[in-house]
Amino acid sequence: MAGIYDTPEMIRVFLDEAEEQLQFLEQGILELEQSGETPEVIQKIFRAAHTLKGSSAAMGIEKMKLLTHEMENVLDKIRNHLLKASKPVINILFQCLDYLRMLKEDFAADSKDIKTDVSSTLDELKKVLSGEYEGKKRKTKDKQKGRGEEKKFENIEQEEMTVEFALDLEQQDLLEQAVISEQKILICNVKIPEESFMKTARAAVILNFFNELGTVIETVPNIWKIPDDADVSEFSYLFISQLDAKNVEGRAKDELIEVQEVKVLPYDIESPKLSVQSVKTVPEFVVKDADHNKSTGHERKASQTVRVDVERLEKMMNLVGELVIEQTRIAQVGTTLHNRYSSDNTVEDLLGISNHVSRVISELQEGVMKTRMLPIQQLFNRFPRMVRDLSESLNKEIELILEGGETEMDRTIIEDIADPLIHIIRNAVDHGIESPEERIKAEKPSKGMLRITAFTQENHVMLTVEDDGDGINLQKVKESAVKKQIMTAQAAESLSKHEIINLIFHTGFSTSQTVSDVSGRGVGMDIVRSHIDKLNGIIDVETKPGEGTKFSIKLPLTLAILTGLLVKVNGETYAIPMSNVIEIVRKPENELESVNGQTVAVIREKVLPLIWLHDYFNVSRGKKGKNVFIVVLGVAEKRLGLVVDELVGNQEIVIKPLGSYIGKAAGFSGATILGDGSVACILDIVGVGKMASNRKLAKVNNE
Amino acid sequence: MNELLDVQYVVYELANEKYALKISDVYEIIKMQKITVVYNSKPFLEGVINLRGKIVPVVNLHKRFGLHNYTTTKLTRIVVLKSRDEMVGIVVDRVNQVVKFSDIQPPPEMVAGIDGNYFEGMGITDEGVVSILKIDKVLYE
Repeated sequence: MAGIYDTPEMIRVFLDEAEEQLQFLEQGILELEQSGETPEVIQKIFRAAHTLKGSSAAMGIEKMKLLTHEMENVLDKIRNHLLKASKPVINILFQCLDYLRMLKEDFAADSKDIKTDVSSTLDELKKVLSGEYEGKKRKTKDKQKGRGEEKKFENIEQEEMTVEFALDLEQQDLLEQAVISEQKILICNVKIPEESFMKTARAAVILNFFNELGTVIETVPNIWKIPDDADVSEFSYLFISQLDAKNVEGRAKDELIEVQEVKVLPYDIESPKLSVQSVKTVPEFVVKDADHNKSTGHERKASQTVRVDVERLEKMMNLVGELVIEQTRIAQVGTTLHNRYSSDNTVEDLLGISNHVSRVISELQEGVMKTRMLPIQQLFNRFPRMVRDLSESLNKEIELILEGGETEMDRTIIEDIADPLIHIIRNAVDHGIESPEERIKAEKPSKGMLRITAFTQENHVMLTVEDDGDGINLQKVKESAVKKQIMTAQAAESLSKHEIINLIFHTGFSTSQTVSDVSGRGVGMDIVRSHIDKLNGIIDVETKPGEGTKFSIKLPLTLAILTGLLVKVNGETYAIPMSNVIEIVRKPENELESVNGQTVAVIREKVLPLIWLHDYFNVSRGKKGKNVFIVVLGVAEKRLGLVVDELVGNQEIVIKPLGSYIGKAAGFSGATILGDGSVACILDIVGVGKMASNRKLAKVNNE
Repeated sequence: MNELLDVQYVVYELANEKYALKISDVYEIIKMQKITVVYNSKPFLEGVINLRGKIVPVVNLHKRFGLHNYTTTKLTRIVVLKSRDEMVGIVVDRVNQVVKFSDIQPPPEMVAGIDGNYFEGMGITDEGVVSILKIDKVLYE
């Protein structure tokens, strides 16, 4: 094992890199399956496999090296059209991918002890390799190897430009490297005039010329081995260069003297017979050329990075939070002073400075926040494979569309939203999208569509998961709810459409007849809800029978600093996370209605239960005005109206814990410090909702 | 109880009775300020304050001991303590002085109507007797 690579830092770097390459592999194989064997895709997979091979060899993971090596062989065959990327082949490639992951995990757990057995996969790969095309391939390879040692002269048939180079392993490796680094491999045939003297010397001059343009790998005949006075007038050079064939040919013609003819052609490294295949390979190289440009552009974009412990970022975030608060205070004191000493220039200055500082601070805050943000793409990357495997096992055809992967979110939120999203996607694939037969019967394309999008909306990120399946069967939901004793048949009948949909978030709910591997245990949507609760998010479900279902999740950009709506209840200020606020409505008191002892308000044709915090705080509701302010709140799928005395405005607030002495206070998630230095409690909307339903229960029980 | 005699104590008043705390337990003494109520929490919790960016809970000892509730005057102070690694404030009617006791007696069963178990002992000074509180017990039990 390579000692210097054993340090924890190296191992971490390797693991990170391996993960990245594995993702490339996964993407590549998926693309291969979907869009067939285009040179770009193969190249992508090949490159990933090769990088993995190199780094795993360096880390001494023998099994990973072997596996990637065999993968390379198979990919190589696909690239050279010796093997079709058929379903079984792709499945084996996926299998390899899984094993590579396992190897990586093993290595991460204990670098000295890798348990995963790859021999079966290796055998599979070898089986693929020794398929019907194998005979042909072996022969050419053996031939090459055999000659590698002997270095015999080869005939050069000029008409067809068929040149066979005898390459030893090292040279072959050089060529492979060149392909991977996207350099061009060219073959140059040079004809030296018959009447020239010292042809070999001339050939050596030409060799030097080519060496300036690139690296000559081999020449035929080998000019170092033939006698100086050998009468050979044609030489072939195999060389690697950044330049393309035309360019080289042009320069050779311009700059070489005493040559009769120069021909430069691309060389296909696995097909020494250029005659027929060269026609095919040329356009391939053109494509590669474009790809080459793209990839260099990409490299330029890849910025330099520093790995920083999340805790340090957290600390910075807290400090910035503190700054934000103090700045608000400075601004307030400034305004007070200005009112008091309006003629004083110093106060003017202070206000100016305060304004400037507040701009800088908000930029700083944004900057620090950005350091914690990651594109959601890294989460999206997990989906194609998942959906593919699921649809495979369920015999469904599904087209997955991912949009907005560049949307950035706080990394903790990305981590926490992964599980709920996966649940929703699994549900959509399992319950939502029908089997191809059913879809055809319903006059829909047999291929189902699953669209996952992410986009930023003001201070929030919206995530939607949309399928064009059968929609949620409301009747079935109702029946299941009754059957699972979540509610009585009577109660179920009186529910609105919206309320029925929300039943799916109930613990223990499932409409699936059978518990499958995928879903049906009735825990899925419950988990989704609790996760989204935790993130202060909102979830909405829209469904149309026969047309599909759409889940929309609204999440805050970050958890540390949030925009809060400040309200007053009984003279005390409270902050409500803006992400939970849907709208604020003013309603005349006499328009409120009472249903089953619960005061409700009809807002936008939805009936909302109203909550007076006063009741829970044991203070009087205050004097009755003509109008009441209702803050419409959403927590996950629930909606409720909070009646407040006064609206103060919104402000950036930093969440501070109440501390372990107070512990959990029902209805509060923490506290924040306002501009005037006083403390305001942050309402925990989930808790408020719970308080309300508990109270309702208690009331029912009392009766 | 000899080691207790070497320690300095902060003497403060609750409803005209003198109490004391070990000076090492006291983190800071600040003037009375606006206390934000936290509803649905511990019954004798007065609320929370902002101590230079930190949220500190404040306990009402008058309520805790069933004394006549305090009225805020110019002398009212919040004594911020460190108890079990957590900062907690207590509202006191006034802070008198820092003293060393000449003698400390074990507490009687009841001290001014409060269970004697809450006290470390009775400190004797020239000006009278001061009850020394077991603050952890008072705050957490």
